[in-house]
Amino acid sequence: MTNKRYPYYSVGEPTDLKDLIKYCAEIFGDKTAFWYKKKGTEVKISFKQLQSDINAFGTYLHSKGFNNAHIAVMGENSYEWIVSYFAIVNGGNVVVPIDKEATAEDVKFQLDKSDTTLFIHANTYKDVAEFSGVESINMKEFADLLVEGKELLEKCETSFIDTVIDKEKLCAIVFTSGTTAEPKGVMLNHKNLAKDMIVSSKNLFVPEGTVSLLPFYHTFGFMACVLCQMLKGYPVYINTSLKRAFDDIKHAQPKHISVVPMLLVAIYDKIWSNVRNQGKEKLFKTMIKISNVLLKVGIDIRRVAFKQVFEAFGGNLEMLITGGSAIDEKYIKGFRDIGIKVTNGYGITECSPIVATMRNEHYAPASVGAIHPELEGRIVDGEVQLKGPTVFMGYYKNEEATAEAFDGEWFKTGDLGSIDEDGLLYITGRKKNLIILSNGKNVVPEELESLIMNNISEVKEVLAYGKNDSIIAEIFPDEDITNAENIIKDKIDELNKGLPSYKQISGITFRDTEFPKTTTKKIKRNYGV
Amino acid sequence: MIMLEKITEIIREYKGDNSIVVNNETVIKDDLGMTSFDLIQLACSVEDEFDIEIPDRAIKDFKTIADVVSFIEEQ
Repeated sequence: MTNKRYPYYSVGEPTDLKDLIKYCAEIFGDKTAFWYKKKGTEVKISFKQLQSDINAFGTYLHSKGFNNAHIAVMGENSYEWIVSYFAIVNGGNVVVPIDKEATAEDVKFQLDKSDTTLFIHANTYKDVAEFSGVESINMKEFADLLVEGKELLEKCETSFIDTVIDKEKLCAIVFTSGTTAEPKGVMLNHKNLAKDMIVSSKNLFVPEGTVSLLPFYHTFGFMACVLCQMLKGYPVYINTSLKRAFDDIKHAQPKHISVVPMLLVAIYDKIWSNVRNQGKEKLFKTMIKISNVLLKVGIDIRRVAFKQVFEAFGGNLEMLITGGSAIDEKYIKGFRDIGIKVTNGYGITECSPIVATMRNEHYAPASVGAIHPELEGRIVDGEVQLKGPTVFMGYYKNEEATAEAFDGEWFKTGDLGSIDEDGLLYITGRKKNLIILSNGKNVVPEELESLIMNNISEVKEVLAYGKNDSIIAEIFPDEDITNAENIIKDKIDELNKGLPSYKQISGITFRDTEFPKTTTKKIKRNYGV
Repeated sequence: MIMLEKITEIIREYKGDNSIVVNNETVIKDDLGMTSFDLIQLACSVEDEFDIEIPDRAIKDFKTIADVVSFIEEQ
């Protein structure tokens, strides 16, 4: 734990996403907003250019009659994806971001369910567009459509530019990835998204320069890698595929990156495999020990001592931001040892999505950070409930699910947790995953899973669940370790000794493949257990 | 055959293990203990080696080495 509450960081406060584009063009003008490689050539787009392209594409959409429509976007991360998003929502339309890993059948289902009448897609998804049967625009045609839009603007076709944004009106339907249930369409408005961008940026200061490794269709990806960056006038290098993640990091030399926990682990493993491949493991460990001793007396040699590590990641990396699930503290410590700060957070699509982040000078390792300003949190029967301007409007055409999700103005997150006296939030697990034993005792499976992951390095993945009134741990062991299963069994016996009897793990099953996951890389809990 | 040798070489280098032997029937995740992220990195190396482009969508269909080989051949 470090310092307690302190003043929030100061940021601009646009009222909606159209105001954001105007604000950025006025304040940051010719500064680079987005940069990326296209067919081997580097492209840089300024904030002014961004506004101009959005106006052109938005005008084109209006000219085709799309000014109060539901429009889906699907594709890899790209500049075209970003322009499409803003051209839709800033023209009075509703955007429906589609998971790029969804099957054609799932896409058709989501388009039907969201009343989508236009489908904007990357060229790689033209088969999905054809299957959907919905009118479509291929992003391959983007340059021509921008020219058409600009010609219309020159002819004083200003309906898009003149569109007045009602910040309380629906502007996005986002389907939840659903680790346990059928996807529901989360309804968000301009106020939800603009406020989340502002309060997230007030809570956490991030250094300038990032690479967008998270998918834009995911609300956290778009918020962290696009909206929050734009508000600060920071340039974003667009990563179009995780295949190029490490190359792009090296090229763009970011100071911070937002990642899913799985990628955080991959980066950590890459650091250590590089060290091992160079035959420097022993030296590296010694350097960490020396550096940590010096750090205690106020001397920080980490950026010099671990220069080679930093160079593999472009040389400037200072911060990794993650969220979505608990992180093993070994990674937080491991990155801190070499001078990279790991910041955890908590979000849920229904809250636009970021709810809490560790603040730069106010955090505790086990917490997911401080709840954002203007958002109120409370705990009812162990469940985290939230109220404030970032809380969603309800589920699209699903009044029953909406009614179940709210207690008055309070959104019931379905997550179990606590809030400490310093306002820090702790998440222990999902309410629906709770194991209720016949003796009336409740067990949070995620707590046991964290305990196993933090203490048994031979375990790669674990899922705990209740069966016949006892607790089972299903484990995917590290196959590179000899005799891993027996080691794990012994270590679980040891862990059980420190647990009350009702929490003890009484059965272990091993699997030889990783668990099925959602597209956000969370283990699917209902995969067949 | 040369293609299989090249793929073997890529996997050996990625895993840092020169004793790895693969054939068309090798199941990438199960037999080689690779995660989804490893598979993405593997696809990247295959792209560079064979000078082809593998869309992200195609990667998740790579279950066995034969799937990778037939994709490269189709290109």
